[in-house]
Amino acid sequence: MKRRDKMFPYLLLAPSALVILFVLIAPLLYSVYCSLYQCTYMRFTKFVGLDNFIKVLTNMDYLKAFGRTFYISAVSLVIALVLGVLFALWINKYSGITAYAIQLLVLIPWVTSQVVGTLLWKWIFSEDLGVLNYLIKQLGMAPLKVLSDPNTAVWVLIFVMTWRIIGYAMVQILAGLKSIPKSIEEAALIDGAGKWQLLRYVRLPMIKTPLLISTIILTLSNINNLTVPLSLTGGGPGTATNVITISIYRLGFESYQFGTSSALSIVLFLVTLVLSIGYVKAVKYEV
Amino acid sequence: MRSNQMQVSLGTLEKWKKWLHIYEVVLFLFVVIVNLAPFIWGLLTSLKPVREVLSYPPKLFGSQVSTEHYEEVFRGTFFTGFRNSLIYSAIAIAVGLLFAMMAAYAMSRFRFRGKKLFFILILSGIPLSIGSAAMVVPNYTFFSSLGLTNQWYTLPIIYVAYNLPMAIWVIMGGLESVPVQIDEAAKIDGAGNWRILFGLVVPLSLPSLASAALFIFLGAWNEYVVSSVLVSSASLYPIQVSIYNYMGFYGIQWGPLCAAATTAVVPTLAVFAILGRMLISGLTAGAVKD
Amino acid sequence: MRKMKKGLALVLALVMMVAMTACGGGGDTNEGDGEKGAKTEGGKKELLVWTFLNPNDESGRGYVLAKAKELYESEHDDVTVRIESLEWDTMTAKFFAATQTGEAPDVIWVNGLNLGEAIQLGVVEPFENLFLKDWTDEQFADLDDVRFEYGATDDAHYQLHLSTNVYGIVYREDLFKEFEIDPNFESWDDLIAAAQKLTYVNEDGMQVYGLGVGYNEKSADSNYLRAQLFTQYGDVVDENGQANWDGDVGQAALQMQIDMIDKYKITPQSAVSATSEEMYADFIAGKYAMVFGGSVRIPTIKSQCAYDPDSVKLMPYPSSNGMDGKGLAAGWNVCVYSGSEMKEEAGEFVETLCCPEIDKLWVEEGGQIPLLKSTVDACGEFLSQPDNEYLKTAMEMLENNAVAYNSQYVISGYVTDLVKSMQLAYVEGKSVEEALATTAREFNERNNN
Repeated sequence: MKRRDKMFPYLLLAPSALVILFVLIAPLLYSVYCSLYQCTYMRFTKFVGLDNFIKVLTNMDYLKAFGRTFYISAVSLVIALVLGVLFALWINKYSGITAYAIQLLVLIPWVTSQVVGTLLWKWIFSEDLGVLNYLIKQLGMAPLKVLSDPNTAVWVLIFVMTWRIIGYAMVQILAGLKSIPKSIEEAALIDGAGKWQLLRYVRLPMIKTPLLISTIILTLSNINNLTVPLSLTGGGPGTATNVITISIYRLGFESYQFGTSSALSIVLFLVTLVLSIGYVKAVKYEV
Repeated sequence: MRSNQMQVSLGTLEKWKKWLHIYEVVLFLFVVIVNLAPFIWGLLTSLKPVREVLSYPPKLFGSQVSTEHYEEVFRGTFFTGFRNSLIYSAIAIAVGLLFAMMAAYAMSRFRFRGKKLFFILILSGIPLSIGSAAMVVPNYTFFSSLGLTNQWYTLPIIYVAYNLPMAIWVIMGGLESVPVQIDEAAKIDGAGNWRILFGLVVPLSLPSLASAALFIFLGAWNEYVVSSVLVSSASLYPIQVSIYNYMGFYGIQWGPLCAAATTAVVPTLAVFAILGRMLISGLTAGAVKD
Repeated sequence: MRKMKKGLALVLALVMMVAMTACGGGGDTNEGDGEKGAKTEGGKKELLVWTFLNPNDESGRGYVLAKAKELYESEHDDVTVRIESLEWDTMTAKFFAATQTGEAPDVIWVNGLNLGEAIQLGVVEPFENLFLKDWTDEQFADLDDVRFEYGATDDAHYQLHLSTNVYGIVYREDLFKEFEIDPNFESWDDLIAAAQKLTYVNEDGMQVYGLGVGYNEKSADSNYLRAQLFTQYGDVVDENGQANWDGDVGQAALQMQIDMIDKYKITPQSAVSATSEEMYADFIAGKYAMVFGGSVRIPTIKSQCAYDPDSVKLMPYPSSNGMDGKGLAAGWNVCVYSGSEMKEEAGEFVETLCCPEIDKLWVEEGGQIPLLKSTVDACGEFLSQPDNEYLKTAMEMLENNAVAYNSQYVISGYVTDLVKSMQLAYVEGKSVEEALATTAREFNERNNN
């Protein structure tokens, strides 16, 4: 093989590699550097080694925030997957313009601005003046404590986060369903499989991969979400919805503790990296 | 006798279907309402006169349809943001597609040392770009120390980088359906590497390129957190930051805010309605692989 | 898996190299930026200003800033002013970071909360070194008041106070009249009694509450606890820079905040999740008869409310323990960056911002409290219009019922700490003492005073 040919793939990869290294990976390493210093207002005052990491990992507030983050992300994910499967099964019966229209409608929350969507939800949920409680009052029922009760606030946050991601899950799963060869389903039906059995033994195993992909992409997306929790609840009431991204944001931009904030960012990144590796393993992508 | 029975059951089935149909229409409406509730409420609000925006009890429509908020939005700096975002998105799409196509082609057609390494690079890029929260502070400090904040190219670079991993992923999925034999045949005919890529493979990858373009567009158009931190000149603000102009130190102006947000959604919906089919097929590229 | 590990290690090593070269390159760029202060554009130097105001938008304040730029440039042929409009909530953090990376502006609007840090970090220049050294005593006396003294020592004034926000109770005179309530409250007890009367269901079926407030940690503002601290201590820290809200005054105040919801029922429970923004929106919608609010918000309220805009009024906090009620006078501090290469020019721009001509515009176009005492007369006619009565009230409050932060200590995050105490006590079920002690400890550890 000619030398030029040997170099060709590297030439092709160089621009992307540089951009990813420079914009995504380098700041990460820079924040590793920040995290080893006492760094207030961007002044590196003292090298403290792993102290910042020890500080954040032994702080119960942050550990609880991590726990809350996983809980909220997981519940939201499970709901999105279950409803995603149901919607996908429903739409799978249709073809043409109807199916297309439904897919688009369900995908809209995923592809529009989170800030605006969240603020508008918050307005609708506003306890005394919002549309939701107005309608409830019109029906003669007692108005709900929506965001001022810690228990319901968590569910409202889960609702809005699920609302955002459900379309993605549905479209992924639908594509999986569409890829199942008709002959297999027909064979199962001829063998006397019921609807439930068809789902359990034929369809679900065949959409394993899209389910896994959705699981991981949406977990990452939920865990890293700052916009929705910050705009919807600001972490409250109390600490009910105080997820880890809010802590990172507050440390950095309200208390100016960039060292500890970086340490927390890195811990969060490592968690998401482990999940990404899971992603690769799950799809068994061959290189 | 038997056929009679069959007819009865067919009749019930028809009825069942009819009932099912109503049930499905209701379900469909419910999905539409829940999904679009905030957008519908925002649209209705943006058309109310200023003194009725926050009035109680909440009404769907104001006493008259008012375009005052839209007029304010278009007289103000929002229009600059709108224009900037169109330019940023265009640059990001052009550069992003070129880079992603090249990388995806290398990954799917060649064997070379370090391939796995690059693959890991793309993969670690996905979590880094999916949620920008963890990256706000590092990005700001890093870019700021290089003096790269607040330049006309700052946001296009960010948008390209954030969407590149997914774009490569999508195009790689698309390349699987482009037969390798085509490359090989061309090679035997003596075509150069670059000519094969841009003359043969690119035209055959148009669907996946289109869906990658959509990804980049959506990512660039909707990114807010990092943009708001990295750029500080009003003349460079992208659209999502311009929307925030109506949530300033002196309070939220709900009318113009909703008008700006509604306007910002329009290009997304337009692009989406036209090319959504490709988006859906792009989103699922790789997903059906087993 | 082993291969993957090896791969990751390689990626990391490679990236380190890229980052290092990039940083090296960064050094060069910064050197290039050294010229920035003296950057010439057609032979002109460029003065960079960071503010949250936008000279191109439709607001009166933006217009005044544009006018100030125009006036300044007409007096300085060799300088162009470049105004960058940043988002107000992250602007100060970015300024502090930018002083480290060589990207800092020459003139900066520093958030009232952070002036103490700015002075301690040495990033703001005393005006005495700049334009003040040429000022006459009369000029100085015309500007000097509680706002200008904020952060100052005998021989160093660091900031010009713009967008002054005087906190008190924003209320609706029409409802007060309807219920025959006299707004000149002698004490908080009077105010609470009035608020109880004003808590009712109106003809639209809306539950109106007497006293509104927002306790959301995302964006909090004034509340009873803070009002008490300023009234009784005049500050939020003691003489050693330690949080002062965990004492008797704070405990009584926090208990009162809880009672306002549970016992007197003049504040809805939804206040625990409301941001100050939502509180103002609810006030506009008619949900509250009174709210803890600031003077700068009144024009926005007036322009959006469905009731008579002239009925929106401002009053100082009632007195407590025989002490006159005192609220915060906060605002934005226009400072000169001490590392600027155009300090003189930057100082002159600040001087322009408070010259009589521009100050008159700040009042009449920007709806601000005058900076100069002489402007009060110059704008006499404007200030006597009923629509601008709130400005007069705010000016009186500034003189009699206001305190500015003590900038000797770092106090960042205290607003969040105060509402967090409420969250801990009301939502998390901690005792009042424990809640306040927790947030006071966090404040002290964080700010290291």
